[in-house]
Amino acid sequence: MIAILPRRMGRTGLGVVSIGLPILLFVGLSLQADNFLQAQNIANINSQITTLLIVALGQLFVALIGGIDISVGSVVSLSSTLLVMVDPALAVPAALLAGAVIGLANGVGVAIFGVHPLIMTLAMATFVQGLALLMMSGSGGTVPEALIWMAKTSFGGVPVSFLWCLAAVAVTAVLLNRTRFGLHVYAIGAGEQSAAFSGVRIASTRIACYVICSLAGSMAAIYLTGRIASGDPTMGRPFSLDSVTAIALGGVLLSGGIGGVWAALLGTLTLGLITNGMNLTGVSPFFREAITGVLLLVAVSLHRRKVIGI
Amino acid sequence: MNWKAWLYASAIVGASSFGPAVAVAQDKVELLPPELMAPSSAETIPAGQYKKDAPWVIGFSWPGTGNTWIVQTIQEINYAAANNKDIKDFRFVDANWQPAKQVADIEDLLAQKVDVLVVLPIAVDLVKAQVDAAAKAGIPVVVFSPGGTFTSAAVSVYGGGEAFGKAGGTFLKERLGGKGTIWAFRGVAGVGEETARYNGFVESLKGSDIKIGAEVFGDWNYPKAKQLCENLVASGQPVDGIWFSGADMTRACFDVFKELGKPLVPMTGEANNGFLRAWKDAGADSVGPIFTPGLGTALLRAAVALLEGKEINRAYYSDPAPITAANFDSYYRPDLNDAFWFPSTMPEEEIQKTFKR
Repeated sequence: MIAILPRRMGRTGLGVVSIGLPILLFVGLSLQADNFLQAQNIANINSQITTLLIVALGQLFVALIGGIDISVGSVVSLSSTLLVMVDPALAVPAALLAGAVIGLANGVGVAIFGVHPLIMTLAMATFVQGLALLMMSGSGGTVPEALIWMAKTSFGGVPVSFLWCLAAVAVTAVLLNRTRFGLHVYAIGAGEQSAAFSGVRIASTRIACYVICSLAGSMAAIYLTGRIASGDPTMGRPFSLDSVTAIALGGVLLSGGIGGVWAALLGTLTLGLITNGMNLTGVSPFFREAITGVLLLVAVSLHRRKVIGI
Repeated sequence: MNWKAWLYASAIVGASSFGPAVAVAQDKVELLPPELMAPSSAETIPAGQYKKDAPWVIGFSWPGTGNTWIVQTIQEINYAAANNKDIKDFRFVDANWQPAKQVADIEDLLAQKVDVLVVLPIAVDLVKAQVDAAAKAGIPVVVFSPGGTFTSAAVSVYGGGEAFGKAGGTFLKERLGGKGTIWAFRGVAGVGEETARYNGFVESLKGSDIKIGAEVFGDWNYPKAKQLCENLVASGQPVDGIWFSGADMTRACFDVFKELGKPLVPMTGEANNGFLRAWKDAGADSVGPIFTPGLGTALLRAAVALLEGKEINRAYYSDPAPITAANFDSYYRPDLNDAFWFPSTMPEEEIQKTFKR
């Protein structure tokens, strides 16, 4: 299979590893875990990966321009606290506004003031996490019923989480593949100077990518807060690094220019299958992080690139 | 009403459907020795309600790892599960302190059609919906709560959290004669157990003239707490006593006071052998609130009792008397290492094997 398939399919980032890994996991778990193929379990996997998928799709925009957003997890946390603390009618707009403002600040810091993305978003992550904890010291609050419904209902047996995934993937695909903005994103990732010479507005495009990433964090919080039916000021902590792991597993180049919706989707699915599979097969939970780390290293090492992992 | 009576009343009222003024029923199932845990509701699960023929599949959702108390508690659970021949499959999943993962873990356990689900939540509110879903599906659920209630759980075990915080706060209130300034060293911000401990501590100070002069988050971590303690001492802020959410931070402050030549003030700790050693070495005036690592075993015993069809109370409460200077010698084990926590449910032979110094 390795011999007949190209190791990377153009700018999508997809390759043998990113496609093969989730398939391998799916087949393996189908044979090993009795309950894996049951409809309830498949629905569970769908619900479990939705939050990470939304965040990973946001992270994808930033990665495509060669950046990284470590603050997106804190945006999830802050949005979750806002959703249960403000008037229910204003909850969603407040969460989205917070996401947009944080993304704007990140983007301006990186694109206008030249702060390194890691430093800018790390500082923002700390600030925003602190803000969330100032607002709410622990989990709780009353989640608007509409949000719970939006995260838990189903239509004709299809869980709404599937529709969330579908919408997030569709919006990202359209933005990246059917708009001038998407073209500019890939152009900046491929070479900022060339893109600038071609008339691409570098700063505004980069700022827009950070805003989209933070907005994705807020959207993910809307889903997750409804799903858990509780606000939590630390809810988003794992998502910053998990979203980077997901897109890297899917074949997205963190140096920019290579990657796409399918890469983010397959990387997220791989992580979701690892977690679900370990629970179903009774593998010690303490292996999960270790196995994820090893898989990530193996996956990115098998991708053809100048520097392993980038 | 004294604080202990208030605590019991809270637990009973908290268990909502158990009625406001229940007489504690005769214990049908002893989860831990009575001095560690007692029934706190009169309502029981009738004999046979969840009876199921062995062997069983038991699902256990754990919040996360990261300190020696957790390591020992998991060891005690695994020991108890491994030594019960009726447990065919013990599915233990760890959420790594990630709320979304704990929700996913519980969903996965339910998909595996476990016979009983045991949950020790990161925070009560985060898993209520999943506990409700399990109960609706007819799977009995046993939960632990440091504060907050689960009405749909078959058996709820309350303890730790507020009781722990109150034991330390009450010690300081008594030592300071109800007035003075104390510092509060909290754990990791946002963690349910931490918030419950702090709430219990603040509650215990009500009605006194004690004020909290400084409040810091030491993350239950020796190096961070040491730095914070050095800064506070250097700032010259008055201090008559210090409340700690965890004893690694107490050890750090013992060391800071010693290094700076400042006389020790009363400081709270916890029931850990390493802390008791430091307490003894420092000659400190302290107290060790007990949060028994046998808690996990108690949850497992409740789950087994349900499947055996035994009549069992719907709520239990753990509020053991703390370790004090008076009973110090009956706890401290110089032959064991610092990672050992009191009291254990494992036999002495196993304790020696695992914790021998």
